[in-house]
Amino acid sequence: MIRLLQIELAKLWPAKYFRILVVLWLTAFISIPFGGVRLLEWMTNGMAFAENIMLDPNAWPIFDHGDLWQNLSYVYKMFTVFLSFVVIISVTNEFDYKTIRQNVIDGFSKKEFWLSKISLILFFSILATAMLFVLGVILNWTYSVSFDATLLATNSEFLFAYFFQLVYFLMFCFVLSLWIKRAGVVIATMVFWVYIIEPILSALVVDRWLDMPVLAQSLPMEAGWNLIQFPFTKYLLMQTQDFIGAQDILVASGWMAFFFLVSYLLITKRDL
Amino acid sequence: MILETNNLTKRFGRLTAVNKVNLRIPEGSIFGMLGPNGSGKTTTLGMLLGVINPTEGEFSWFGQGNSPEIRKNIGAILEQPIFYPYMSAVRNLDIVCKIKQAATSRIETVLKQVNLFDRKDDKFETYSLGMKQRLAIASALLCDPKVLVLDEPTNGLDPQGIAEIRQIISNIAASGKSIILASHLLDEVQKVCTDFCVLQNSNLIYQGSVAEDFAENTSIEIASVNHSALKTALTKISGVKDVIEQGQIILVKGDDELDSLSLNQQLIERGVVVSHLKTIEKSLEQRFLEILEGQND
Repeated sequence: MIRLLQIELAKLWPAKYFRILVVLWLTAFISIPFGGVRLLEWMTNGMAFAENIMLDPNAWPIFDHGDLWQNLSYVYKMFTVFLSFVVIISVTNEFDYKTIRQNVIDGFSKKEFWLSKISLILFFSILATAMLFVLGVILNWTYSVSFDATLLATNSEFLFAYFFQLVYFLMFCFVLSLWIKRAGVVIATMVFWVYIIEPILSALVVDRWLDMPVLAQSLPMEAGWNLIQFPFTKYLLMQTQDFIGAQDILVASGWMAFFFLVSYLLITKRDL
Repeated sequence: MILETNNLTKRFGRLTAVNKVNLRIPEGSIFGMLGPNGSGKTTTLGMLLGVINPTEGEFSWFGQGNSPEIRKNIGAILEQPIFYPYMSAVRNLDIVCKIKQAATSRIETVLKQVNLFDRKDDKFETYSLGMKQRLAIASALLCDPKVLVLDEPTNGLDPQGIAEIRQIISNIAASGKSIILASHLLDEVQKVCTDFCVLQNSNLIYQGSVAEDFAENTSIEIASVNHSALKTALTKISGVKDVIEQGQIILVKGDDELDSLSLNQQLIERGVVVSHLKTIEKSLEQRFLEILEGQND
């Protein structure tokens, strides 16, 4: 697996698009929390005129233990899109250049090719999770009321959920890329699916006509997204789910297994 | 045996691209695969190289089966040179080494072998077609393979490029490696190959040795000012099997004993002076067309 990852990185590193995407991703990654702090300040200032509203965003403990991991993982899961482009372009390029074919001629088994892309997905997911962990520790230490290393572990299962969600979404993109093979069409399909098809399916077909909300929550993107619930409503004293639902994990794991299986079959059963 | 296939078959839906091909390629041979476009050459090689899943039948490299590990000891180009366009030659070959788990020390050797060492740090996309083709051969040589599979290595090249590739292939053949060469260039196959096969309409219609196939007949073109005397004389000369008139020139087909020297001597003894005498080397092209025609009848 390490050998396959080395090959994968050797392919990617000289590519300009790859460096640009990684730099963009890293920049976003590091700058987000500082933006968050500013946002709270801005909200506080904005509310200064309404003194009777008992709301002080500046005092929200967004980086304190207990809240930290859910807040961070929720915000950061929205930035998976940079990595999804890396996966999509790296896979569709192999079809474009026909290098997938040459790789196999040179001695890769089709399974090894599959594993090399999986290793790339795992590598970035682990890297992002590790970075989020380090960032979380730094933010907690810098901005929280009290820094306590032992309390830092509270709700850290959201780190795992973040990792899971990364692998999940990147595997989804991997399957689309293998299936469609053209980067532009893959990205369009992904956007179309996430923002149009699934919401329509979920809202109309399953929710209203079939009246099966459970099924709506089991659509692939919905299931992946539900793992980490929107956390910030709790600061408005609304009821907020601050745990990972067992049913969500179950459904998402089912889809994940499906992505692994389908991507494997798409590579091994087809002629290159 | 380098390669053995057993009823190798590929069907794409209702179309049969390769139909029950049985190949036997002996060790040390330079094996030419001939056939018109669309006859199934590339599909056959694709199956042998693991990129196309056979519908039926099996094959075995070096008598050891067809695992990806075995492909690491084969150098192959299929259809066209394929590399990452945004990478230099060296980086591309480095990836091939990593896939083949071969030492990177040979990169320099093979680049020099195909005369690309000066351009080794330039991106692949800046190469001319001839250079791309040469890099592909370098890549195929990277693992010092037991057998080299080249599919149309001179396709689309200009005469100079063709000459370069031809020279490289001759050198490789001389170094004692086995080569499987799919080509349109029949004279090339004839010059280099020890054995050849012909594919047509998805079927293997012929397999034989180059030497045997070209030993069977001698053809001599002959002409004389005295045409009728020449014709009469030819009927009496031993070893002549067939006389074909082609205008003023007569084509004489004879057995192994007959050559231009003995023919000329015998004609002089009979008082016929020739004005034109030429031994026709039977070309693979003629043989190839004969084989194809034989099939069509």
